[in-house]
Amino acid sequence: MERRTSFLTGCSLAILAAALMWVPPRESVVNSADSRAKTILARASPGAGQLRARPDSSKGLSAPLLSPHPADSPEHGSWISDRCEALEGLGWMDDEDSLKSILAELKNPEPEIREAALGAVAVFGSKEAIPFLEGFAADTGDPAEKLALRKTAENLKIPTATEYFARKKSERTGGE
Amino acid sequence: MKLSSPRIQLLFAAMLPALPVQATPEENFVNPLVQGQFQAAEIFSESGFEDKVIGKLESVTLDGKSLLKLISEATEVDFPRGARLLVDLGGFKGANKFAPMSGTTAGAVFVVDRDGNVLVNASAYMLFEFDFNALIYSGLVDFLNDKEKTKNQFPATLRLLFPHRDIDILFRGNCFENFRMSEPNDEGIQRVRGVTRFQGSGNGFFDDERFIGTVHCVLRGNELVED
Repeated sequence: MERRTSFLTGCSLAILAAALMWVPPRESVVNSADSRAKTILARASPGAGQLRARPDSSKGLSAPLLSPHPADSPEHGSWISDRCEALEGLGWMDDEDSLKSILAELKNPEPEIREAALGAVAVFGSKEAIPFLEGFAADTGDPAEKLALRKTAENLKIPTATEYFARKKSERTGGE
Repeated sequence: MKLSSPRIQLLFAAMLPALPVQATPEENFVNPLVQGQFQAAEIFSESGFEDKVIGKLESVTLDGKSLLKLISEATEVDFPRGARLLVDLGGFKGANKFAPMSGTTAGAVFVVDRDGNVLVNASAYMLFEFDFNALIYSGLVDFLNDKEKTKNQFPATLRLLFPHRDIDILFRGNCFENFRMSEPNDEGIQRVRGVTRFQGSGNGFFDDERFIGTVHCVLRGNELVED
């Protein structure tokens, strides 16, 4: 009887010890570390993770250009301004390479550059950009950016004044 | 016009509580986007007991390249690849930095090539007017070091006038500008950068039909100025 009691007591102690040794990871610690990592990543590349191109939507596009300067330096700000200016200039071109260079910057980690690239896409005015814009809109988790991408895609579907007058001329010629 | 003595500058600052800030580089590249709808048709028909009319609207976009094409048609000048629009405030800064302004400031529009060389004055077809008198701002204007980092807001208008296509539209709205001016370097040179977003709405005529729409323009200026 005593042996049986001792055996049961031993088993209970063993189970208790095992239960005490296994400490489940505290959720708050995991979340806190995760959030710190996200903060550090966000500081290192602002906007990173908000807009990731799907493999199919980024097909044929090169990687966006990144600033060679430290994020907190004045040179970084100047570099971004210059890059935005260059992209807006590319918007006035009409060749495929220029369009692809602009579209590639829609994946840039810098929000200011993505915004300038989106403006340049609107100025470029090519309907070829629509699938890329729709693809990026599907990928981004930022609601404002999603809306801006979709709106630009929709805007490109509206006929331009040039297209309107060309169509009108063609209808008039066809009618004669 | 730059005031050399910091004391005089501070005196001006004290005398004018709502001192107009520098605001807006002189030359700005413009990326415009106009969108709207015009009355495409009114179809009258008699059916049964009452007359009916069916109205139809059509949407149209006037982007930068469409505007360039319209200017090309109006001036009969072909523009090279990469040509773009530029707004020149023409001496606004020197004339008005420390004095109340009279009326609005007109921004002449030019078509320039990709290197910035002027090809055509397009002000007869596109005209910006900025009301810097009504400007409000937040941020720092440092008179002692002659540098500035401000966010400015001011009203503006844009008129598009292409008689050969029966287009005449007037937009009104506000500009939101991020402006920076560095302090002078050893040679007295300052870097001036400004990004202005103009958003407005308006009405008029497109292809001789009533038009209602919106405009969104980004004006970007980046220049070196001598102290």
